[in-house]
Amino acid sequence: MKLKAFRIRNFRSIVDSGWNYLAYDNITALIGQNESGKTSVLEALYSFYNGKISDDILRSDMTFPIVNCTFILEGEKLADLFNSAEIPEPIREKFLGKEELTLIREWKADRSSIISIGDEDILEYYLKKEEEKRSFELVVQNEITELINRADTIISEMQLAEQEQLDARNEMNHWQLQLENVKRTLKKARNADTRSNLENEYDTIQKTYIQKEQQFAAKQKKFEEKKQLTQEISEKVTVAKKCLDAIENTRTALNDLDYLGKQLKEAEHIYEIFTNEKEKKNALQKLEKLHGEYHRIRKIYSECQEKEILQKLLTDKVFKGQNYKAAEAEALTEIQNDKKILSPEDFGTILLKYIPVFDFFEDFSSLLPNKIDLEDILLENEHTEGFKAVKNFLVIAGLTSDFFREKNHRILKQKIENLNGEITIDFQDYWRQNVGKDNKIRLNFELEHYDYTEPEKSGKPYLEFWIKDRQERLYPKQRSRGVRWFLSFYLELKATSIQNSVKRILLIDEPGLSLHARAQEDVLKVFEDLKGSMQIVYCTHSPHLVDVNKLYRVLAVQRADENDENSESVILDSKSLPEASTDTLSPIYSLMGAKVNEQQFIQQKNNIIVQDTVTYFFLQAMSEIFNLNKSVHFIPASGINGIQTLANILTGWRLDFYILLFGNGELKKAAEDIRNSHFLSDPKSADKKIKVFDDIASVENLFSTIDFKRYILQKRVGITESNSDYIITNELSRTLLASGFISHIKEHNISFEDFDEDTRRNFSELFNAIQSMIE
Amino acid sequence: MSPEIELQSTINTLKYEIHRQRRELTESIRYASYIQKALLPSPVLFKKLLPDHFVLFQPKDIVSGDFYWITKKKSEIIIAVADCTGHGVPGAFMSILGITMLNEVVGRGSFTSAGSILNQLREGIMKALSQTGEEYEQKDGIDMAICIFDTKSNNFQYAGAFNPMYIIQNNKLIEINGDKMPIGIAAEEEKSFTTHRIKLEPGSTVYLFSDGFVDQFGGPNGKKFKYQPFRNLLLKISELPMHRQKEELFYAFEKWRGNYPQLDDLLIVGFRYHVENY
Repeated sequence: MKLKAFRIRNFRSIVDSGWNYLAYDNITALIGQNESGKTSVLEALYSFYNGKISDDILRSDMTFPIVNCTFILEGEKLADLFNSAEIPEPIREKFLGKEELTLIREWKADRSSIISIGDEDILEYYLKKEEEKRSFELVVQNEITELINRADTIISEMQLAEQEQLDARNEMNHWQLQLENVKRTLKKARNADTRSNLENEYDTIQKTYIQKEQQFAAKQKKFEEKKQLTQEISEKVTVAKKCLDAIENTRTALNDLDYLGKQLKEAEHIYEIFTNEKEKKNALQKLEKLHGEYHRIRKIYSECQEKEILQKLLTDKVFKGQNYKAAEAEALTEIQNDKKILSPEDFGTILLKYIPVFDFFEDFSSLLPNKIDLEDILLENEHTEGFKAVKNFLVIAGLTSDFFREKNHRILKQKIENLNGEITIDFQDYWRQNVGKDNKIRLNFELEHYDYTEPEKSGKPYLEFWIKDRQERLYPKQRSRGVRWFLSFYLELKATSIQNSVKRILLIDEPGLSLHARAQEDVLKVFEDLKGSMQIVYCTHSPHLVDVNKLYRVLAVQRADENDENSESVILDSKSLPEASTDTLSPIYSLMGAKVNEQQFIQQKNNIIVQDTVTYFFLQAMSEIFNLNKSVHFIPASGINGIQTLANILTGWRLDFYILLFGNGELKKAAEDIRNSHFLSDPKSADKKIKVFDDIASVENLFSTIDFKRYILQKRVGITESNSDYIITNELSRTLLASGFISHIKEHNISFEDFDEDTRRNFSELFNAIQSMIE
Repeated sequence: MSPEIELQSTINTLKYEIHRQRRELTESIRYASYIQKALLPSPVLFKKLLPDHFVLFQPKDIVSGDFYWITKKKSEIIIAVADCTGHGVPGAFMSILGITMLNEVVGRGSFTSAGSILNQLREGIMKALSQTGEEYEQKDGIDMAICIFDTKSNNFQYAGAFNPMYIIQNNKLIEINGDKMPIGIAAEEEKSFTTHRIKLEPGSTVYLFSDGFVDQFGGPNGKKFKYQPFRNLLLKISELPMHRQKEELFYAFEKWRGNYPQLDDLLIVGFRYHVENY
């Protein structure tokens, strides 16, 4: 696999870098001023790989870093990388046609991170599943609400029925009492009339009583029915209650987690601002306690989530009429089956093993030190100067910590002696082949012990390094930075190649910082040699580490607001370079100037002075593909004032020259001045020697709008003004556009015929005018 | 008031409100159509520049996405027939943009050929709609056939953004196709529009049109009219006076359409070339 693009969010000064693409030919340079955020890009990529972030990386706006990386598959069959039973079928189908994949690493409040697959088409499946889950959960919640409402009604109805039943019973009892009273009175009554009245009354009451008795029976029946219903629904209500409890527990755990996350952040902040050791110690204790608590709650939260989904599944099944036991067994099985299917995180974790290894080479840790305490090596103290370089050295030497436990001092010395020889030979080959240097450099190391001069460490062992060059035996830091850098770089390459055979991405922070120009060009040469076997991403602000003909390799990093170091970092790709600030682009500007200086352009005759380097680059490039009959030598002046100076120099050297200018105004005046100063006595010659195209504001206007967009701007946008006006209005850098143009026509082998009719006509007319001027 | 009566009253109020809004919207679009008509060349101007011509223009809605345009610059008569993305209001917006751009580009006079007018128009549309080839942006554009007829030299140029041009001379139909790219952003990077230079013979008839006629569903099987029958129809009527050709075309269209609704705006411009006219 090969890294194609990355996107960084919430990482130090980077809020959202957008997608940035690495150069197809494996060398990508991040250019920008100090503090622009270049190193943050490398660190973010390294963090993506190893998952580690330090506290200073977090932004103050409580957002956590996210890094996305897209990899091109180079023949790997994705489906083969996983246990096929674990891949959901729709994803397996999507894997078949995949040519690239994206991984996302996201960090959480406790600095832990998860890596997951980030391809939209794959995530679509999970989103759909998630949506299904959400709608299922919604249905369950609605069902619960409905059930509770129903239960409420049923209970109310039952209570009402019960009351009605009681009322009916009371009434029945009342009439029964009445009946008995009349019966008693009847028994005592002797008078026939009274008896007759009482008998009538008895009959009436008896009728009412029978009626009330029937009513009571009906009410009793109704109550029994309602009671039965209540009993029936009560089992469902119990399940629903459990489900609601589970939902509430998850919500509480999430709230606790959020609260702890904020406390953690606060505690970290306090720890950072304390300088007093005691306060710092206390703050650290609190921080560690909070970390522990955060982990505990996170575990609880995951458990709650699991319980919640189990309860929801269970509730749904019970509501549908399944009995509790069977529903529980079925829900558990479903959850187990779901767990077997790979999640985006599972995919991410597995795929991480197959992506290239990211290595980070930065001066502090990766440059070979003079010495290092053995303790720091054995305790893996990564923040020790030169730690990584020494680790690399030990890997190459095949040494582990056991090696240094050899009690016999003589044997240990001998072993070290033998190793010193082997390592030196390897480096000499590399040094000669890659850097083209022949001096025999030897790398030695010794195991020494501190003496009384350093009482705090007295008696402790340390490793000491020497770089020997014929007679000289010097500490690494006493050697030139070039030798030290290349030697350390060699250690890095060699060590990583021993550790793993898979592809690598080497992230290099300011390679060869403070090396002299030639040594920096050597660094670039080494990168060119390595690009077949690894991808290199480095940051620099040196012009010697940028190839002007390969600006597609450049990503510019700068602050959104140039004057505010606290503003966010933005990354511009090679096509957007003209939008970058002058400071950011200074390596490229320096380089363009340096390239002009390398030209052997002043000849005996046919020298044509043009107004600036941009005009020079365009005309030079176009004349080469136009195939001018006569050889002409364009010479760039440094603006209007430079034209007169150049004319004076060439006249002084008795060299023949012509002047070709575009535009009017001040330029026209400058041409007039030269006419007066050099050709006053020969105005005819002046007409022949000086050509001013005053209707063409600048050389870019010789291109049709379509060609200007395609070959110079390399951007699709509607342009209704002249090309020169467009450049001015949009504050674009002419130098950068010219540089991009040259790279483009060289890389794509653009011929004169590739330009459209208008461009061809304009340049043909110009070059014909030049030819006739010379003739 | 009972709940039922109250509900009924609310429904009536809403119905009235919807009706009022619809009426206002229609009136507003109808007014916009007057503005759009005013932007189209007047029949007087058309007659003056191309004495023997017809314009068959029947928008599908009140306002149209098709438009025609004519002007004279020095000795050159420039005629354009265009079809904007969509019809109705969105199409009308685009047509206004197109007419304005045409006026601007031709008025500026920096064109060198029919193709270069289309090139400059495309730049203008891309700029106006901020089109840069990104996925999320509006992909609207204009299809157009444009021709320049130099009355001095009798040179005739045509360039097309999708829309073709038909010439009928000596009872033969010559079809000249435009480039397969719109005036506006396309998937492919911008290329120059091709300018076709043609020798017109006196008596030739030239037809520029949008796809409203050929794409109309109708006939016995409810199918599209298509290009070949359209060419046959033109060949059949090309000898008729221009105003009669318009009638024949309209009749053929309506007959084909039958009960099917009109699918798109309909626009055909035809003119006959007579040396003596210029």
